[in-house]
Amino acid sequence: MSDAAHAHDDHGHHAHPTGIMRWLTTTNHKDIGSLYLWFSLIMLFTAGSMALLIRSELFEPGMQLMHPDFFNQLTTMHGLIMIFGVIMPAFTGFANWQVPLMIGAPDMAFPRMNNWSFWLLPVAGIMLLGSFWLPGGAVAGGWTMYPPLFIQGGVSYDLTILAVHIMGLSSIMGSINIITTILNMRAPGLTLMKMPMFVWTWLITAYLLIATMPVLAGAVTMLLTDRNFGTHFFNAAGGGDPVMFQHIFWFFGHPEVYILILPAFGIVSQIIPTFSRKPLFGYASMVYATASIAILSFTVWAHHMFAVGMPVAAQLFFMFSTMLIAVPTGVKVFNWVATMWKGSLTFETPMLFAIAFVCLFTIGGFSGLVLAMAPVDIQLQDTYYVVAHFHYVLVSGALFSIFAGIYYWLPKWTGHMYNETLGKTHFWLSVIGMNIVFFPMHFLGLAGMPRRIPDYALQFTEFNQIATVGAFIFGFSQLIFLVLVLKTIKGGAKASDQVWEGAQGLEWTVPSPAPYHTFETAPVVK
Amino acid sequence: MMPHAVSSLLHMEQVNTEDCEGVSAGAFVFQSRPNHSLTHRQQKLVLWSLATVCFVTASGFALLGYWLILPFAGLEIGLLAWALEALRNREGDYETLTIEGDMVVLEWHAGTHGERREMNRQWARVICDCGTSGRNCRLSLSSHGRETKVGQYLSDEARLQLAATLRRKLQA
Amino acid sequence: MKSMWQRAGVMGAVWAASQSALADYAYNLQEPASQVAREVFHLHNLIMLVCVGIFIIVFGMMFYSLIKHRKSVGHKAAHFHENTTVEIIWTIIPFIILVGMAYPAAKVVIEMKDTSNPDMTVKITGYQWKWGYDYLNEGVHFYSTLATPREQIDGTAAKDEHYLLEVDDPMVVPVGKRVRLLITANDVIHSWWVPAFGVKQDGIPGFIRDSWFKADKIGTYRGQCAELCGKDHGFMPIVVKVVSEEDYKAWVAKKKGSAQAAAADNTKTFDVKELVERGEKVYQANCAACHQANGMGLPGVFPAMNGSKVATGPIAAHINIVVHGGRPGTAMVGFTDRLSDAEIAAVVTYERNAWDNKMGDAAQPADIAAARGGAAVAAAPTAQ
Repeated sequence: MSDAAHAHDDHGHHAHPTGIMRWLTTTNHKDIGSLYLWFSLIMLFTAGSMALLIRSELFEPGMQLMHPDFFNQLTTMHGLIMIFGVIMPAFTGFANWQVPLMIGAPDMAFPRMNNWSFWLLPVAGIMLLGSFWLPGGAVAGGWTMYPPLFIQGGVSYDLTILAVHIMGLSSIMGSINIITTILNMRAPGLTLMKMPMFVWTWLITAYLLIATMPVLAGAVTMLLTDRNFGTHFFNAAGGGDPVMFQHIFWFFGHPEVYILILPAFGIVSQIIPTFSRKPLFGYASMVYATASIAILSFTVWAHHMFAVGMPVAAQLFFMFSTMLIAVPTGVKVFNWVATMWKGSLTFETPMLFAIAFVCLFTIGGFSGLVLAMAPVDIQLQDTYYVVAHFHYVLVSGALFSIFAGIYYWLPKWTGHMYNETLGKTHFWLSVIGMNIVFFPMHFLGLAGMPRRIPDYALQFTEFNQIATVGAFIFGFSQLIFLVLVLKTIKGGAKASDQVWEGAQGLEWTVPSPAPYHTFETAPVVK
Repeated sequence: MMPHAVSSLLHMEQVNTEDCEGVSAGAFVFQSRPNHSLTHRQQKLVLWSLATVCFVTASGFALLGYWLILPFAGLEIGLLAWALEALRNREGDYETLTIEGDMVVLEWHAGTHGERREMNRQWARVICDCGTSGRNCRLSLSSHGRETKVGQYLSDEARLQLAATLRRKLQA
Repeated sequence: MKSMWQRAGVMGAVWAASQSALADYAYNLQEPASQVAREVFHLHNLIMLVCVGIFIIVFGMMFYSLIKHRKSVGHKAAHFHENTTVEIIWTIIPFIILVGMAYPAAKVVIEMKDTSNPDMTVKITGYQWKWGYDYLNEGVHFYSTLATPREQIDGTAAKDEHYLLEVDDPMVVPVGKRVRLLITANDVIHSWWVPAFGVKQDGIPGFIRDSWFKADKIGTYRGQCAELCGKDHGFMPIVVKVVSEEDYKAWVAKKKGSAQAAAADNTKTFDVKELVERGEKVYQANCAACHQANGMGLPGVFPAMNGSKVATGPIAAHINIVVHGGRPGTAMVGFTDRLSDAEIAAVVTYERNAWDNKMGDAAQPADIAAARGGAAVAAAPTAQ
């Protein structure tokens, strides 16, 4: 607001900031989008290295590399950083880059707020990572922060709560910006039901974020007051209830799961039609399915808590509502397959990742359906089966969609084509590595290996060794991605305006890279 | 409202970046205003739907004794309300630049602020510079040591293009 | 539905059995040893078959399309982009399948939750990091801690067959009896899980939740804590021995005998050497997990015992911390319910005389009994 009101009064002529100041002060949506994506990439390597440490310790029974408490710190930080530092910022980065281009807006609605919401993230990131060097080390109570275990920790626990607050504030500002941009800054003629699916999924994601962030903020604040100010929200001895934390946390946490996957649906829904050379099948039903998933996500939270011991009626309610989510999710998968059906398919790297997404995300969906059955969940809750499940959803789901999106839009962003051979090598190593890591974890969970343990009984050895080998293949193949991105930014074959033969939508009508002549002739949204 | 050189542009900003045989022959008129695709009704719907969800949830937990969610819900909905209000304040914003004969007229309105400034074409200079890689570009007209920004509602790309057009117009 | 469900179970069991030749590569849930676990096993097999079926159909279509409808074989894109009939069909069919799945699942939920008419009741309490068992009908009470020696974990000794799944004092129940479990915890949330019985129930401090099982067969069944409970979450296994009715009675009698012997100890007076010897064992079982066997603790997390102000300060304050617990909110909880007077006396004496702590003084069981009387901060859980 004040951006516009005061800008005209700016009489003095200031030199443009350079170097680091340029990035600290930038309000350009493309700059900020790039910042989000770079932050996310750095965090991906950070939290990924933690995962490799975890897998190294689990290569064989016995404690070889670390103390159990450090192991718990690694699992906790791996989870927190991957969720709040990698997946969420990456999707926000895509939103910053693509939403204005896709809806025909010059920038985000609140460019200065956009700058703040990004720069809060590195602050939170430093607080989280820095806590490894505090007395007692980083948080080790699991990313879900369950009390009373979380009440026991040292000063890093307070710091983590603060970091979660800061990341929450960043998310709220980002979401408000995205909602207002999408709703208010669309080009004339671009009605809601003509918006690209990516824009739709982000609109719904931002709704979910705004609806649930106060719940997270409140939950962690109550942990903070319980820890430091003698309140008894979650302390049974003082009349509180530790299980209520789980209810509150998962009331936020389950919509959060969809916050982490809906933009992925959006990206994939952009890519599959392009490489099928055929419009997205069932656009309207895709929109309705996304909205119903979002609404249902508020009614299923306690399926994370079947082992807590709920009354029969509650168990049945949460079991049924969870199973119901399979219906709109199924509609989405069917629509993607129908989009490919009778298309004219080609298999460039973005399409490969999108196909892998549909296939592997569905495996994660099916294991989710298995876990939805309360009696089966009682056996599998807190085992490696759950670890396998959410990694299929978040690695081959969210992360693969991010890779797909980067390959898809990178030529637009940089003006250069990426190296297709390198891209395909990255794809095949990732998809094979990913399955070697996470598929055996289903069997480990079924056989009875609990999650979050630093050491295990002998019968779990073989599958753990396979998983560790896969983890190193998967982890190191991400270096190919890094090289590819750097090479593409530096140079490469020139990308055409449309980049992809089948690409549709406003963003592709802009020359690549898009600097000087955006929309010389007015685009018309039909 | 203004002499309109631009008609039926289904475009993000109502911008004419080309020479236009406008209403008054020979004049160059450039008008831009931000998009407002959100109606007042929709705006209310957004605010109240989110406020309802947030406050129902927060009050529910507060009734169980977990009241610390409420203040956060209040702060957040406050921020959302402020943002939506800020969008409404922008609704009347526009910017018009007219070059006719030796006269350059720059008129802008943003929120409660506004100005109409006349310059002599011979004295008006185009000032345009960018951060690296063509982003964060500033475009203004300067005369008698005072700068006034133009192209506030454009993307960087469109602003650079406008700069080129203005340079041509002012020299002609 | 019933017959389909059971057929699925049989198919799954046959498939699982055919895999057993592959030693440790287990591909399915553990072999069930109770009715509930068996029903869960079949339910899992059924839902897996449904999922695999749908997967094959949907992705068969997709891969057909990937092969036949590619540009490189000259396929031209069609331009349809909606078909209301098809979309309604593939919304309704999954819904019907789900309703079909919900029915058998709901039946198992109801059975799992029915804890009525037990033959016996055992209260189970989770501690950091051990399990406590109270046989409410028999009055037997004991703790069960990891029996795997430290050397095996550190890799300096060969690991035995039940590495990390063995305890010093297992839970013992008679075969074919409905055992009701009252599960709670003393410090943080734990979860008592024995896969073969299909029981997993979180133990929540301050609350008691119940569950049940009826073991089919005599044997030893192993499980682990399933809820992250801190540093040694991976090192608090559960072992349940299912024995015949006679063996169970004999076990109860033996347990009661050793409880009396322990009670007798509480009235004796020991010399320092005896206390230190006994205290070392108590220390290893109860204290070493945090304060470490060498008494050095973990900097920043768990304080050192060696040279600490507590262990080298006034003995009364030392006893008070061991009995009633340390600062609130820390992992140091009182051992008043967990150790006998003689054991606490022994461990306090050990801590004051081990390593570099050469205090030379000793606590006697009578001192502990006196300390218990004062300012007891009871950690007794209240029923829900």
